[in-house]
Amino acid sequence: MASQLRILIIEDSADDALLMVKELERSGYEPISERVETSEGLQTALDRQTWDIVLSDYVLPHFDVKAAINIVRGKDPNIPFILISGKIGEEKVTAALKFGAQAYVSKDHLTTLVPIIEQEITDARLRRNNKRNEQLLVESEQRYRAVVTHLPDIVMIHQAGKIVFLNQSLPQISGYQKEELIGKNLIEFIAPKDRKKVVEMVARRAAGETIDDYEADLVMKDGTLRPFLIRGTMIDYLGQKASLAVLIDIYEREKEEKVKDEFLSIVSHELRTPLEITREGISQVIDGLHGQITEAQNKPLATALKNCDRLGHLIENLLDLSRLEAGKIVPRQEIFDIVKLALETTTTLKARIDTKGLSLKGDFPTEPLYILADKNEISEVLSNFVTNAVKFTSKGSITVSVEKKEEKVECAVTDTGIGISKDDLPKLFRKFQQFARVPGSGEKGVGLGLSIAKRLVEINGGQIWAESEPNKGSRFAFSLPLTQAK
Amino acid sequence: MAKILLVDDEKEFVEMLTVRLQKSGGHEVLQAFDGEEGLRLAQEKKPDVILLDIMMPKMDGREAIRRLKAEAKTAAIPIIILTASVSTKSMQEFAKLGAFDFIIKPFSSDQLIAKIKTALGDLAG
Repeated sequence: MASQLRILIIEDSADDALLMVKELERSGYEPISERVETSEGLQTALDRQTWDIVLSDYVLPHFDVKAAINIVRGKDPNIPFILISGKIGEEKVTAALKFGAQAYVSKDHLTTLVPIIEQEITDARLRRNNKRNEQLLVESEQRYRAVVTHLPDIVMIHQAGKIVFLNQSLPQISGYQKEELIGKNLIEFIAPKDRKKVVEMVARRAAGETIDDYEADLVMKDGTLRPFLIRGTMIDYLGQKASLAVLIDIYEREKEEKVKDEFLSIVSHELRTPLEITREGISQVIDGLHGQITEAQNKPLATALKNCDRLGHLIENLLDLSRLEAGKIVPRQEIFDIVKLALETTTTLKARIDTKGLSLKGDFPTEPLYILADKNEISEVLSNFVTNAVKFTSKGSITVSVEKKEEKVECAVTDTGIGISKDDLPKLFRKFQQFARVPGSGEKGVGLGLSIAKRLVEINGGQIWAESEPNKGSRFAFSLPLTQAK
Repeated sequence: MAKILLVDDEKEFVEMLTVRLQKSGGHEVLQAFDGEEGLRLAQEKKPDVILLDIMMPKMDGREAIRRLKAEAKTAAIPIIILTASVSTKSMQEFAKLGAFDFIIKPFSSDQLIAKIKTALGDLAG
């Protein structure tokens, strides 16, 4: 199929223009052409539609070629402008090309017209694409620059022991001028106490290890220390290995945590002291320190005392959970036999809690199973499971079991209680979730025990879960990796 | 029977505990309501055991222990810390300061009396 070509011809001779059109038609084109003679005509034609090419005579009676080129370029800098003329001499041709025409074709050699037009159209397309690409590149560069510059976090590229790129954040936060930082080693700005850690982390990352975010203090220009969370990755920067680091200012966060800690400490003190006084007062009366009391007087006081203990336990749980959430509790891990621990915990619980006539059984392997964990925390989780089971079981049994499962040990408490509905199962380990597993049982907590248990198991590297069938019973379990005996 | 110095800024708590220690333990109780007063009483009356709160006005419990341990007259008196909260860090800190033991509020009086007994026995032995 013939290709269409939109040609604007600046020519005072209609015959010459026709010759050009014919030449194109001979080569298989279907030219759409318009001939103009004046600058106004040229302007109007350019405004009306886009053109693939402009062919122009050199000698124009109504205006000159320079003016014509100017008008065309003003409209579209990339449209090919081809000069077609009789013999005009190299000088004029050169001048016209310099001024912005793309090519010259002699009217005596119109056979070269088509190849030149094709060449010029291809070139123009390339020029347009290049221009577009350049534009895209500039836009992309601007976009990234805007993101990196305005990011409140510090973005830094470190290469061959030097800071080679830095956004505005570090200068803004630290008080240093950008020039005082570029070219320096970041380590110079790390607080001396954290230098060893940072050097080690950087080396490990450079060796290909995946490193978690870590904290380090930076020394500000005024000498004060400010905490940052450092997150880094190895990149290729201008053809060489470099470290890209993002430093997040955690000064405010740390301050908030301190306030929270203080608040917790005050709350715990302020809540416990009146509780302690109340408890002691009641207990002195019960103990007969202020004279003998009757059975009838003892009963409400005993209830009051029991509830003081409940409140104390609740405060304890709230504080534990806050500390766990703040990462303040670091497990004191040791290698121990979990079978022995489960046996001991079960025995202690049997003696301590009122099992309401339920049988509390143990199902333990004969050989010891060693794990690396915090003994007290694991015991607390087991106690929580058993206490819950007692609360929600009215008849039958509660079984504490320990079992080796491949590389793990699974510890579970199974009851024959009322169970938990499928909908409630996933909510079990969330904070402040309570389920009336035993309607009207009067057994209430605030729903913190299991969320504490979950965190305790997790900080010891284990998993926790529950299975249940309503009216048949529940099974609460956790698993921890087995380890070798000491 | 022993001479016990009880230092805590909660007056009602001190009163309540005093009754308990007198009636259940048969002890003599000296009362102080801040660290400074506690320090002065310890030096003057040389108690057998000191029960010491941590969060107190004027001089807090930590500073009081430091001073008690630094003074020859009082260095050997066992100190039981009464505290509302305890962490691994604070436990280590108490031990480092030279406290004999600690008890977390709220506590049962039996627990406290047992700890006092241990502290006294330790001293005798």
